[in-house]
Amino acid sequence: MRLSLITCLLLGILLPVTGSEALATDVASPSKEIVITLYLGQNTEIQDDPTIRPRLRENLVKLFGYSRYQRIGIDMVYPHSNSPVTARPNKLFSMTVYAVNPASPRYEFELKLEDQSVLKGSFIPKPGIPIIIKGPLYGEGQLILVVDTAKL
Amino acid sequence: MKNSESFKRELDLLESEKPGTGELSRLQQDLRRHAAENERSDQHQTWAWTRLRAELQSPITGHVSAWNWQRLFLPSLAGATLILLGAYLLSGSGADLKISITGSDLYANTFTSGEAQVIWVTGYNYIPSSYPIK
Repeated sequence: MRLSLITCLLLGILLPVTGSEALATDVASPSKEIVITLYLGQNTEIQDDPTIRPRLRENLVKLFGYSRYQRIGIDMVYPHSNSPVTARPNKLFSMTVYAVNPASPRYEFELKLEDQSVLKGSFIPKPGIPIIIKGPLYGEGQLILVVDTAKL
Repeated sequence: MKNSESFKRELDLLESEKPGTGELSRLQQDLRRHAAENERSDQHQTWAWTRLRAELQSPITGHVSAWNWQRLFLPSLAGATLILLGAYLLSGSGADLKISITGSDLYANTFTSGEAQVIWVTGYNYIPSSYPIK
């Protein structure tokens, strides 16, 4: 009897600790704001955006190598239900986000380039952890999408 | 085995436990007496080992010895750990970003860079700068 009791107590402690990652995908999270920003990376002839966060800029330079990053457009959506919402940072790109399971923090998304599907997938938005998506080459530079998350 | 360190620890532990009932109680008393008289011979250890095994194989009536902990609790713990590990793997390995489909002639790969997750897409058509994008 005592053995069973102690076993249950220990499993009760272990389950939340070791199972927290496994169960994370099934736990609802507060509503979030998804911000999609389109940047053009280029070495010359564009106006550099001084508001880019230093760590993001450092990452963009490391990934793409350009010295200047101009913000082309920005849009935000609030995917708080399973109704798809679409952000259009400019007239080229659109990103539709929706929650398949409202009880889960995972969102499905589809990225389109002029109505042609580029990517379909899913992600768990996390504040402070942006998603950087490599876009097409444009002129002498590179189009880059950055998906940020903010808690509401 | 009967002279191993682990067996001696088992005997020491058994001697230090509170008096039990029935066979176990008699076994403990004998072990204490032999220990006091410094007669813990190989023969005695063999006898004690046999009686201890017989006692532990009888139904548990309440008292939990360290041997029972090893015999019953550790397999239960290992089983629970395996179940949790399986649930973790089946839940999608905790990947925060998954790409299921890419457009025609496009290829995508995901990786982490600094604090960011990156989707590296290749195969786009070049867009000339004469094309307005704002």
